[in-house]
Formats: sequence, C-alpha cells, structure tokens
Amino acid sequence: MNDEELVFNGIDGASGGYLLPPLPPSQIAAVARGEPMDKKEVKELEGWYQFISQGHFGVREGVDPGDLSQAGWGVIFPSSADTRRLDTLREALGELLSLRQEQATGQHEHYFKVYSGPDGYRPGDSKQDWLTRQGVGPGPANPDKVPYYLLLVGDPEEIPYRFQYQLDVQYAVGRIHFDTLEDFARYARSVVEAENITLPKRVAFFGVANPDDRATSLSSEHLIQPLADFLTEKQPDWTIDSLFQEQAMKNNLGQLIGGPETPALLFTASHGMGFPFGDVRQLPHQGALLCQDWPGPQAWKQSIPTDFYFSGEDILQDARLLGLVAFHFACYGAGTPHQDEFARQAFKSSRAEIAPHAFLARLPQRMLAHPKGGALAVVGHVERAWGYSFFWGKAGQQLTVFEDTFQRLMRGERVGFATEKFNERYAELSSDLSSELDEIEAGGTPDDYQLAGLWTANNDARNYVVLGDPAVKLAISPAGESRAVQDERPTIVEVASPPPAPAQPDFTPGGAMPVPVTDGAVEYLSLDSFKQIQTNVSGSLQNFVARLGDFLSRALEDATSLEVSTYVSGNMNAVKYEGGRFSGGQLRAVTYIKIDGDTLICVPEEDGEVDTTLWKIHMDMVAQAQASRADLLKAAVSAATGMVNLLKP
Amino acid sequence: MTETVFDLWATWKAVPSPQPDQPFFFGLDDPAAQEFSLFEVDLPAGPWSAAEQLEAAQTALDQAGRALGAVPGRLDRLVGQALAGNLGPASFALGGTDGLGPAEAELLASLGGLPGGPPVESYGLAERLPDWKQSQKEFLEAFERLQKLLTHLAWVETRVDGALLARTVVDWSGDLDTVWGKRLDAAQFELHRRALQVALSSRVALLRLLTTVLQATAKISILLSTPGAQLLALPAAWRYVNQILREFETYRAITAPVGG
Amino acid sequence: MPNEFDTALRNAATSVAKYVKDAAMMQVETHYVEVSADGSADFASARPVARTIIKLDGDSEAVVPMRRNEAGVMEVDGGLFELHQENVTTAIEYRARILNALLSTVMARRQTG
Repeated sequence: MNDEELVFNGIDGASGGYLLPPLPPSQIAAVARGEPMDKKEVKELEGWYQFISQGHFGVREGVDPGDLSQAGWGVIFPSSADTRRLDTLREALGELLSLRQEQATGQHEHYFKVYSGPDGYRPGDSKQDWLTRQGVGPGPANPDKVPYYLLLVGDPEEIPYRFQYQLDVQYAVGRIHFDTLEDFARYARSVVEAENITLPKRVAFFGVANPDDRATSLSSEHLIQPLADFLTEKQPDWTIDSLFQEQAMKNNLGQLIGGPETPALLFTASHGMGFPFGDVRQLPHQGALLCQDWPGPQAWKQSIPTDFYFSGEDILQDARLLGLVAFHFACYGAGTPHQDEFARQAFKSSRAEIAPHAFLARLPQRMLAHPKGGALAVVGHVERAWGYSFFWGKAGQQLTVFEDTFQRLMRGERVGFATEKFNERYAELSSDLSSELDEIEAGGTPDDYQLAGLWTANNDARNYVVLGDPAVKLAISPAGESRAVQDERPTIVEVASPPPAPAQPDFTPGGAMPVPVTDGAVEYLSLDSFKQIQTNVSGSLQNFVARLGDFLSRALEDATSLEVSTYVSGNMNAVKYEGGRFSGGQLRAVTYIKIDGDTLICVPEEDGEVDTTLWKIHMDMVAQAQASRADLLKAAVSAATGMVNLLKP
Repeated sequence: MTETVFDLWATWKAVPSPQPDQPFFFGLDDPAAQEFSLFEVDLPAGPWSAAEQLEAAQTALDQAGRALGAVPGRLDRLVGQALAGNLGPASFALGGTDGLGPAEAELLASLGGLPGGPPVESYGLAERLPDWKQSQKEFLEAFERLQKLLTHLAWVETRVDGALLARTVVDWSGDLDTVWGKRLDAAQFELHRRALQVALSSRVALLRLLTTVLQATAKISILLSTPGAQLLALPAAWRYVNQILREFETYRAITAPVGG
Repeated sequence: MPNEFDTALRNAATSVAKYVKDAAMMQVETHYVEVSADGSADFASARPVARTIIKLDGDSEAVVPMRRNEAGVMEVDGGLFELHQENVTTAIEYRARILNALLSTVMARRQTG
C-alpha cells in the first residue's frame, strides 16, 4: 500500500499553518467510506457518464453550443426575492439581459428565459426538483424546454452551491452575486461592451512554488508548467507568458490582474487563504491568492500578512480588467461553503462550520464588477482545492481536463461549455467511486490509496464553478478572422450612482425627532450666557474625565479580571440578573483573564465529551470581550486626553 | 434595523432598571444600575435578511470609522489655508470655498471672522454661530448619553420575529454574561454574536466620535482669538463632524473601499 | 488638570513596566466541569485539563491532556488539546492587545503632561 501522505492547498491566515495537515490515505479513505453517496444522484451521474463516453456533450445533439439562438440562455433568481428586489436586479442587469435576449431569440422566442418567483430557485430544491417544475427530466439539455446556458443570480445561501454543482453537470451554469446594484450593473455593462473589443491572444500562467511546500511544488511541477508547455506547442498563434516560482510574487500578479500585463486569459495556481470561523478577515480575504512572497512553512510560523497574498482589496481603482477570463486553482478561490463535512468526518469533530454562512470570494467579485470594466468570468474552486485533481498516484499527471478546457477557451468557445470537461470528469469519477465503494461493501479489500485518490479527485472536479455569465467567451478574434486588436484595454462608461440623498436634518441622539438646520436669525449672546455655556460644558467634560480615570485605574489593577460567562436557559423569561450573575439559567462555561494575560478557563463536559458547540460560542464571546476591553481602553484614553487638553486654562 | 450609523446609535436606549417583580431585575443597589442602556435588535425570520441587516449595521460602522479618520486631515487643510490668508470675506459664500467641502464652508460661515476677514468683536464670534443654543443643547445631550452608555451596564438582546434568542449583560469594564435559549441552532447563535459585536463596536465608535470632536475643537479653536474659544468651538466641531459622517453615508456607494 | 485622571495615567505608566515583567510569563489553564443529566454543573469541583506557560521570549512549556485509546496506548486527547490550544492563542493575542493599549496610555501621559 502506498503510504504517501496527501497534501492539500490552503493556508490558515491566522496561524500561518496549513488549513489541513497532510493526511495518510487511510484517513481520507475512511471518510470516503463513511460518507453516504446519494444513490439517485450517483445513478444519474453513472448514466450521464455512459452517455458522454459515447461522445455526446452537455447540450443535445445537433445544437451548436456557441450559438445562443440554438443553445438558449436563461437566468434564475431565488424565488424568495420579492418583487421590489427582483425589479431592481433586473433593471441593474438590463443591458446584459437585453443582449442575451437578442442573441437567444434569433430563431425562437422561448430560448430566452427568466426564472423568478415560483419558477425561480426555491429553498431546498434539488436540481431535479427544479427541472421537474420546468417539465424536464435527466438527460442532455434541451433548449426547447430549458436553455443550455443558465446564469444564477444570488448568493450561495439563497441558491446553494450544491444546486449549482448538480445543474452544471448537464447545463452550462454560472453565478453572479454582488453587494450593490451598481456592481450588478457594472458587470452587465462589462459583458456587453466586451462583445465589441478584441484583445491580443495572450495567456498568462502564474505558478507559485513556495519553499518547503509540497502542495505548490506539486501544482507548479505537475499542473501549471506542463500545461503552459502543452499550450505553447498546440497554440502557436498565442503568446504564452509564464511567471513561475520567484517570478510569482504579489506585485507581479498585480500586473496581471488589472495592470498593464493583464492578458485575455489568466491561470493561477497557488494556495488560497483560509481564516478561522468568524475571523474578521474571513469574508474579505478568504480565497485570496497566496503568492511566492510567503517563504514557506519552515521559515514563516505566524499569521500571514496581507503583503503575501493578493485579495480583492489589491485591485487598483484604475485597473483595466475588461474582457479578462481568469482561472484560479486555489482553495476557496471562488467561494466558501458554510459547512465543512470533510473535517468533521476526518477529525471526528462536531464542529462543521467553516464560516458563518456560505459566501463568494471577494477577489473574483471585485474582478467582475470593477468600475472601469470587469472581467468576464472567473473559474475557481469552492471549498478546498485538492492537488490530486491533476496528480493522481501511479497514473501520474491527469492534465487532460485542463488541456481540453483551455484549448476550448482559446478557440473562442463559451466559458460554460469550455468547462464541461470538469463536469464530465466529475461524472466519470463519481461512477468509479461508487463502483469502488460497492465492491468494498460487498466484501472486497479496499485500496486506501486508490480510494483516497478517487475521492479527492471526485470532490475536486465537482467543486469548480464559474463566476460570471457562462455564455461569455474570450474577447479575441474568432477563428478564421483577423480583427484589429485594441492598443490599450478600454474601460466602460461609468455606471451612474444613485443621486445623493437630500440633506438630512441634524442628528439628535436618543431617538428623538431631529431638528432641522435653519438659516434663522442669529442669536446674540450676553456675557452671562457665555459664562453659563462655559460652565455647563466644562462641568460635563470634567465629570466624564473623572469617570474615565476611574475606569482606567480599575482596568489596570492586578486583581481585575475580565470575566466571561455563558449560560443556557430553557425559559428566557424566567431568567433574572442579580448580584452580577444570571439566576434561572444554567452556567456552562467561564473564562477569567487577568490584565497580564493569565487565563483560567472552565469548559463543560457531558458524558465524557466536551460540548464543543457551546464551547465555540463561549470562545466567540471571550474574543468579543477581549477586543472590546482593549478597544475601550485605548479609546477611553484618547477621549480623556482630548478632554483634559480642552480643559487646560 | 439600520440605514445609517446614526440609526445604529439611536438603537441604544436608556431604560430604567426593572422592578423586582419583572423578569429582568438587577437587584443591585448601585445608583448607576437604576438606569441602563439597552441595545435591542428584532431581526426578520429569514436568515439571509437577518444577516444582511447585521452586515448593513457593521458596514455603517465601518463607514463611520472612515469618515472620522478623514476629519483631522480636512481640518488641517482648512486651518492651513485660513492661516495663510487664502480665505477672505469671499470665502463665506459657498462658491468661494474653492477645494473645500460644504461642511467646511458651513463651518467657516458659522465661525464668523477669520484672520484677514471681518474684524473680531468681543464675543462676536460666538454670536455668529447659527442655532448656537440648539448646537450646544444637542452636544450636551449626546455627551450625557455617551457617558451613560459607557459607564452604566449595557444589555444587548437579539430577537428574531419577536422571539428572544439571547441576552448579554456588559459592564463597563467589558465583562460579558450571556444567557442563550437552549434550542438555538448555529445560525441563531451567530445572529446574536454579530449583534453583540455591532453593539460593542458602536460603543467604541461613539467614543471615537467624541475623540474626533475634541480633536476638531482644538484645531478649530486656532481660528478663534476669543478667550475661552475652545469651549465655544466645541458645539461647532460637533456639528461639523456629524456633517462629515452624513456626507460619507450619502456617498457610501462611491466611497466603498476596493474589494468590498 | 483633574487629579483622578492624571493619577491614573501616572499609575498606568508605572503599570506598563510592571505589566511587561508580569506578562513575561503567562499561564493559561483549561479546566472542565461535568454537566449532569439535569443540566446543572458544579463549577467548584472543576478539574484541570491542561496548562501552558508562555514566556515573552517565545519559550513555552505545556501539560497536555492524554487518554488511553482502544489499544491501551496513551495518546493526546485531540479534542481537549485543540480546545486548550485555542485558549492559548487567544490569551497571547489578548496580551499583545492590552500591551498595545497600555502603551497608548504612556503616550497620552506625554501629551497631557
């Protein structure tokens, strides 16, 4: 049996360590055996694999996937979106919807569809539930019933990643979600304007290989470099730029994402950043691309600074991204799910949440909705990226999927169709994995290494998603044509922001009605009035300074502890707070922290097991209390100093 | 729940301490516990909507932080130009304040005479402050509320569709006692955690607002030569800083940071 | 200048030096308490699980929780240890934050003095 440990991409930005340690195949195999496979889903995937192995692709035979009037185009909104939100979203996406409607309805009106309200995605829908409502069963896409290209509009809490993975097997699916309507409008405008630009045929490969790091050394040696070599040979009319190892520094990546070296097509392979549950960096930075700047796990054993990784915040205001299609091989590069079933099974931990909620990675969001013009699509990974998608044991490199995908993209195929290869591979691997598990169940001897490899490769293939409209394609000259290339990458006409709100009345605290500013008659003050004002204000300030001084003294006393207590109660109305503690509730966990950091913690244990769920909650409260104490201390000193200076004669 | 940071601060309510027969009784003799500050959020049932509201509140706080950070620099510029004599009587017309924002223009107008401008009369500067008494009243009320918020017990409650999820008591040193309903799921725990984070951050942010107003007062008073000018400048500084906060909120979409 | 605040700032400056000395060795202890069937827990009889002493110079020593596995071999109780390690990390971060905040009081003393 092969004892080689399997390594995973992904670095914990808080600790500087790996998101997952290298694991022996036996441990992954145990997960694979323990994880129940959805029998119906597997059956469909097996059927799908048989179908595609006969040479049929996502859309039914005879349909040209490059022609939207044959393949169709649709958009799916969550059914929970109310009318007002739906209307504003449709308005923001208006330019894109109009373009696709024009393109898709060349032959049939019904080849352009908007799925919203009851026809939209409903909470809990599986792919088949949704398709059944549209009158469609399993099998290749039939644009007469449901368009082949489908754009999901919603975050992964509204429309789960699982739905996107499942639907993507048969259809060409992409997703967009942004924080503001302006961003939706920017993306829509970018896609429309990119239809009329022609970029030079340039593809850039950015391959990080951090010192002493097996994961990136694998991806550098066995994925990105051979892929670049392959395409150099097969696509002689393209310029292939390769930035590997010491060239794969953060500032160089900035040149490729919005800077002067931004190509038409970009492929990066690196670790993706991960952060602990609820960490303040998790939402803005998870999935950011860790560059060669990180000196590796031996040389760097602390939290990862932002200087080492490229996140959405590193894209400049004047970046030029219009027409770019990017492919990121990195953990969380496209997004993060809410739960982490793998860690839960592998480490027998009851804690399954990776993040407070599922979310899309900020870097691709920022790339797609840049005010100067966004990228067309970003293909990346939800959850962890498993290096074994391209390097699988004795079979060596499994690059075919990547090679095929990139060739399709470079031929000008639409992104959703070009990435079908990953779905085919997912179907193939699911079928193999299912067979392997069936054999084991029937009493066969498991080969942990084979099983672990199959399982990780299967997960990996499943978790690639397209962020952006799946019907976009590279902004290059179509095959057989030779269009004039833009000297400089253009920008879009800026999307108008909503007009400023009318001037607000003065803020009057306490929730009372605010008093409007008037240009009324000026009041003249008497000397007595002036003195009275001086007395009132200085009296208030002195009182506050005294209280803050008292707070500071107490906070610094050795004996003072920061105390955090967590209780539970079955009847919140019966709880009283007396003498500094809750009665009517049950104390579950306590932490005492002295000013010098000495800490005493008491955790709850039930039937020999730590109540980790409650413990996690308690630790969150501790973190908040600590942050609040430190912030208050600092802020109180600043405020008191300011007041003291003001009171000086 | 909140559209602006002002709404967020208004969420804090001063509440009299409940009586012994009421569910939540402090049982303390400390006069400070006779009144405490309540931060109560009642979120909608949909998890996405609830999370969105909390995120909006956090965004409002972050935006306020950025606005407050901008104040010293803007005032330094204003004071520098004023002391260099680059502002004359024409500066009192809004159109004359080249390169300065509307908040600066209004501040100048309210401060009256400047070096090179109309002559300073004894206490005449204070007399030119529009709504002077109203500004002073607002400042003292806000200051009083801030003191209570920071020095009394604070009580943070999270409800979803009226049902209480959890309650946290915070004393002014930061000690936290939390009681949770027994059958909460991870999403509900998270809602209160985030609500608490917003509540605690808003206290620090209010303190920071006060600090910024004090810094602004010191800078503004450089422009006034009246004895005791600093204390007179305090209400003007209060109005100015609040205007900057409002300005940033109005243009929030435009000034959103890179990366979102 | 108000006496209380000035006194507090003076004390804070002294405290910083003392704090650095005290915080030079920080101790983090994790205990556990058994929750009974009726949901109550006697915190007075809480039992120790793990203890870590961390010095500012980076040295540390730890007492870690062990348990016997099914084969009778002693192994680290991963769940409890992971929990304890989280506490240690939190404590280290908190120490750094407080030190930073205390330093600001010393700076403040300079500004008002």
